[in-house]
Amino acid sequence: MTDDTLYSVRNLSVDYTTRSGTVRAVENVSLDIKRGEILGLVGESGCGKSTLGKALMRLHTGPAHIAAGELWFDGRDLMTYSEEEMRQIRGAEIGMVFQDPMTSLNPVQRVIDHISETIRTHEPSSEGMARQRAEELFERLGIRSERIDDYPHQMSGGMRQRVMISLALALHAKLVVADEPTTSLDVIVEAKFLDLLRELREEFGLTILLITHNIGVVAEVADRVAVMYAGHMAEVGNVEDVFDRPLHPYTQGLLQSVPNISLTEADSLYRMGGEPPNLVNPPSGCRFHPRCPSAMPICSRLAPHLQPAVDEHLVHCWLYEDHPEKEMPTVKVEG
Amino acid sequence: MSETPPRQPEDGHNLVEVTGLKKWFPIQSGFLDRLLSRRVDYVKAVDGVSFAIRKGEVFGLAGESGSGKSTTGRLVIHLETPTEGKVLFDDVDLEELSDEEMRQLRRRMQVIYQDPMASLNPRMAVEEALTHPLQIHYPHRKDEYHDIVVEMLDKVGLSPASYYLDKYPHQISGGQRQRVVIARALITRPDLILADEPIAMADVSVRSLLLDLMKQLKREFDLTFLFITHDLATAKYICDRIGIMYLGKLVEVGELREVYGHALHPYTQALLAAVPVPDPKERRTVPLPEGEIPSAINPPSGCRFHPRCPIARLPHCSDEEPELRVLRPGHQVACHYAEDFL
Amino acid sequence: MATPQDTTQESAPNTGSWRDELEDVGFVRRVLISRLWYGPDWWFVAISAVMVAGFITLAIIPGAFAPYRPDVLVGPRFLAPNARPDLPVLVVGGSSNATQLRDLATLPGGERPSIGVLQGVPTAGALNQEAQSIDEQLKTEPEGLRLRPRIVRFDTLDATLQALQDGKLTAVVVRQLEFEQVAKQFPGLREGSPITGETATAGGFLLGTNEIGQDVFSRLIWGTRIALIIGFSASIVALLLGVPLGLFAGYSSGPIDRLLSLVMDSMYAFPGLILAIAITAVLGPSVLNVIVAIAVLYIPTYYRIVRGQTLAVKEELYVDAARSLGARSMEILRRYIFPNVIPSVAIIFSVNIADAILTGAGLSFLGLGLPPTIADWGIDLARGQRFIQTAWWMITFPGLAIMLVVLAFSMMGEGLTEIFNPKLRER
Repeated sequence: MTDDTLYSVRNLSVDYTTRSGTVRAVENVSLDIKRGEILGLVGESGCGKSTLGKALMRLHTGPAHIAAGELWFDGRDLMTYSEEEMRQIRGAEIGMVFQDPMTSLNPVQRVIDHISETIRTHEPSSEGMARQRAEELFERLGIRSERIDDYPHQMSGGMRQRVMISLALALHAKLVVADEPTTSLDVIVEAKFLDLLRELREEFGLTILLITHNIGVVAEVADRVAVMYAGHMAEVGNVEDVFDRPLHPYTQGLLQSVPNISLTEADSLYRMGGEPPNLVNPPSGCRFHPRCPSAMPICSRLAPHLQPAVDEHLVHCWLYEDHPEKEMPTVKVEG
Repeated sequence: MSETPPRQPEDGHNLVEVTGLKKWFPIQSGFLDRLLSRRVDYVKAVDGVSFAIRKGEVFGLAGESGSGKSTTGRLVIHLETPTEGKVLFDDVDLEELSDEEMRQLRRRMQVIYQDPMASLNPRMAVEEALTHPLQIHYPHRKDEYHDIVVEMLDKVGLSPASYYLDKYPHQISGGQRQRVVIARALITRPDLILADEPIAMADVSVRSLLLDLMKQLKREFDLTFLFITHDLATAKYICDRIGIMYLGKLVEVGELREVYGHALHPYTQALLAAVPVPDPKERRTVPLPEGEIPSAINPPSGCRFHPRCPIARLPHCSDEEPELRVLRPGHQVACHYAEDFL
Repeated sequence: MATPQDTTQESAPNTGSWRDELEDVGFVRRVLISRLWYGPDWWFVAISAVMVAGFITLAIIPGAFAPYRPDVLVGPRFLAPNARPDLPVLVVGGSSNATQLRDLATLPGGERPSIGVLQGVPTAGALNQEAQSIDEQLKTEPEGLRLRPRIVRFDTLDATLQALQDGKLTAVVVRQLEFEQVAKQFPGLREGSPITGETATAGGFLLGTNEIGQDVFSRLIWGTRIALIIGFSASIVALLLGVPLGLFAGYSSGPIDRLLSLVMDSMYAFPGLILAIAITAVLGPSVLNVIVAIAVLYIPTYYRIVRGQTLAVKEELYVDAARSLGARSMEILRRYIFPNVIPSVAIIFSVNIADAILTGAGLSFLGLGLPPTIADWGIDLARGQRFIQTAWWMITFPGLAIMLVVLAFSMMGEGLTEIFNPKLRER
C-alpha cells in the first residue's frame, strides 16, 4: 500500500443471511482509494456497491457480515478494531452521506444543534465555539443563515444533503463515503451538489467515494471510476480511460445503453439482454457470462481476476487474462 | 381483435387539447385555523397550462419536482378534475361526460405507471390482471380473453406466455413487471397512453430495452404518448415534441431537437446544462441558477422563474406573467426576453 | 466492441431457482420445506395448529373421547382424580347366586334376609336408603316380592364376614376396598355389585367427580363443543357484520363513515364484559343469545381494522390503476381492495376466537347466558368455586382447559401474523 492510498480494500467478501439462503453480495473485491481523489463507484441495483460502501466503515449488522478480506484505512487494519474503536473512526475520520438524509438526521433536533452536538461529542469545545464552527460550515456550504435553526423536514432535499456533508466536514473527516447522495434530488440541485463536492475536495483535501448508479454523475465529477456487477469489481481506471476505451463487456454495454442528452450522439441505444442476476443463485464463474456477447466456455467455469490490462486500468475479464485452459487468445491492450 | 372502434381520429389531428388548465389542491388546515382565518391556502400544482398533442406523436412533459407534470398528466386522462380549464380528448370535453360515459372512454386512454410493483394488485395473477380491462370494456367476448392475453404477453416480450399467466407480481422481476404493466395498458387497444416516468424505477441496463419496446409498440398499435419524465436525456430518445414545465406552468414547448438545440427559456437552458453527460470530456462549465424551486403554495409573482433567472429584468418580469409565444417555427417560449437568445 | 442485440425479448426465466421448484411440489412437501424458510415461527404455528385441530376434533366428536355423557351421574360425589370410589358392596356366601341387593328379595311370608353391616359407618344408612327405594320399586311390580332386610350390626369387619361365612347371615354389605383387602381370608365369600347401582371403574375417574357425581373429564371434553361453538359463531357473526361495514366506511369516507365510526367507537369504548352482561340479561339465557352478545362485542374490532386497512389500500397505486382502467367502485372494492384487506382479518379472526371463548366462559361463570343443563367450562368453574379447598379438581381442570384453548388460538393468530407480515430481518 503506497503512501498516496488512503483506503485499501483487499479481497473483501460480504455475506447476507436471508430466508432463501446466504447471499454473497460482494465477492473477493479489491479497491484502492487514493488520497484527495473523487472515486466513482458505479453499478446497478444489487451489484453490491452500497454493501461495499457500508463495509468500509464496518457498518453491517444483523444478517450482513464481512466474511473475508482486509480493510486498510490510512495504514491501519480496520478488521482488527473493536466496535468502540470503529465508533470513534465513524463520523470523525470517515464520514457518510446517505441517499435519504431524512433517515439519518434527527427529526426532532434543529440541524444547527445536531452539528454542534456532534462536534462536541468528538472533540472538547464549548457550546458557543461549536455553534460558531457549525455556522461557518453552513455558510461555506451555501446554507443560508436564516435556515440554520430549521428542523430537517423544513429543509429541501438539497439542503439536507448539504447538512450531511457539513457533518463530515465538521469532524475533519479524511474520507467521505457518499451513497447515492443525489438520486433523490432534482437535476439542477444535483448538479450544484456535485459542484460543491468538487470545491470541497479542492479546499479541504477531502477524499470522496461517490457511489451511484448514474454513469453521467460519475463522468461529471469523478477522477477515477470503479464499475461493479453482481458483487464483483468489473473494471477500475481513470475516468477518461474507462469512458474512452471501456474494456469489460459490461462497461461497454452500459455506456452504450445510457441515454445521452447531447444531440450529436446516436439516436438509438444499445439494448443489453437479460437482467441483473439474483444473487441467491448467481451464475457460476464470471457472473456476467449469461449476458456477455463475448463469453467463452471458460467464463462459466472459472471467475477471472481483477488485474491491470494496461497501466492503471484494471479489468476483471478472461478476455484480458491469460489462462492455460482458455480457448481464445488474450486481448492485448495498447497503452 | 377485428372490431373497428366507432370513430378513428385522423393523423395530424389533435388527439388531446388542453386549454387554461388549472389544478389547485386545498391545504388541510386545522379546525381552529379555519375558524379564525377565512383564507384557504392552495397548492397550485398546475396553474394555467395549454398545449395540444397530435395524433401519433410522443409528447413529452418534463420538469423537476413540483413542476406539475404528473398532475397535468392525470388531468388529461381525467383521474383528477380540473379547478379551471378544459381538456378535449378527440374533440370531446371530458368535463361534460357523465360518469358512465367517462368510464367507457377510458378504454381509449391508459396509463403506464412509474412503479410496477405498486401499480399491480399484489393479489392478482398476471392473467387476471390483464383480463380485467377486457372484462370492463369488452364484456361480450369472454371466450377470446385468454387468447388476447397470451397474444399481448408475447407482444411485450414475455415469452413463453404460459409461464407468466399464473404468476403474481412478487414472483417476477422488476423488468418483467413493467412489461406486464405495459401489456395491461395496451390490451384495450387505446389511442392515448399516459406514461408517467415509466422507466425511472427500472435497472439501468434494462431501461433501454423498455424504451425500445415502447417505441416498437407505439408503431405497431398506432399509439399517441403523453410521456412524463424528469430525465431529459431519456426524453431525447422517445419524444417527438417536448414541453418544459416549471412550478405549474409551461415555459417552453416545441419539437424536441429544436428545443434541445436552441433552448430559449433560461430555465430550459439551465436544465439542459445540468443534466450530467456520460462523457468526462463534456463536463459542464456554465453556472447554474441560484436558489431552489420555491413552494407552489405562494409562487413568485409575474414570471415564476424571475427570482432565479440570470436575465430577469425587474419590474417587468416580477409584475407580468409571460405567455407562450412562437419565436421559431414549431417552438413556443413563455419569456419576455427570450429574443436575447435567438 | 460488443454488437447490439436486435431483440427486445425477455430471456427465458431462470427456472433453476428453488422458489420455482417449490411451486411445483404438493402442499405437504411445501409445508415441510417452508420450515427452513420460517424458522421458529414455523414451529409456533405448527404446534398451535395441532392444538387447534385437536380441540376442533374434540368439539365435533366428543363421544369418541369422553367415557361418559356429561350429565350422567357416574359415581360418588367429590371423588378425587383417579381415586377408586369405595362403594359399599354386597358380599354373599359362595353358595348364593345373588349379585344385587334386589336379588335378596323374598315373597311375603318368606324369610327376611339378614344383612350384616359394620357398626358406626354410613354403609348402614346407605343400605337402608337403598333397601327402601328397592321396596318402593317392588311394590309396583306384580310378583309381590319384598326386601325388608333385617340389619345386623357387628363391631369388626372380621366378625361381620365370619358370620356370613358361618351362614348366619344372608349377605353382608361392606366397603369394597376393605373387603378386597381381606377377601383371601374368606375364601367362601363372593363379591357382588355395589348396592347403590353406581358403577366404579377400576381406576376411578381420570379427573374426579363433581359435587353431584358427574365425571369431570367427560364434562371437560363435552364442554369443548359449546366453547368452540360460541367462539366460532360469535367471531363469524362479528366478522360478517364488521368487515362489510368497515370496507364501506373506509372506501366512502364521507358522513356515513363518520357516523358509523362514532357508533363503533362508542361500542368499542364500552367495557366488554359489562356490555355482554347487559345484552344477555335483556335477551335471556340461551346459546343463541350468548353468541349474539359476544358478536356485538367484537363487531367494532373488525370494523376498525378493516376500515383502517381499507383507508390505506385505497391510496395504493394499483387502486388508482384500476380506476384508470375504468373499473366501477364495486369492482374495485371487490377485486382490488377486499383481497388485500382480508389477510389482516384472517389473523385477528384467530385471536378473536380465543377472546370470544374467554368472554363466553366469563359469562357462564357469572351464571348468565347459558342454561345450566349444558356442559360448559364456565358453569363448571362457578360450581367448583365453593369447593376449591376440598375438591380442587372441580375448578382446576376447566380452568386449564380454557387456558389451553385460548392459548392455542392466540398462538395461531400470532404465528400467522409473523408469516404474513414478516418483520424485516434482512436488509
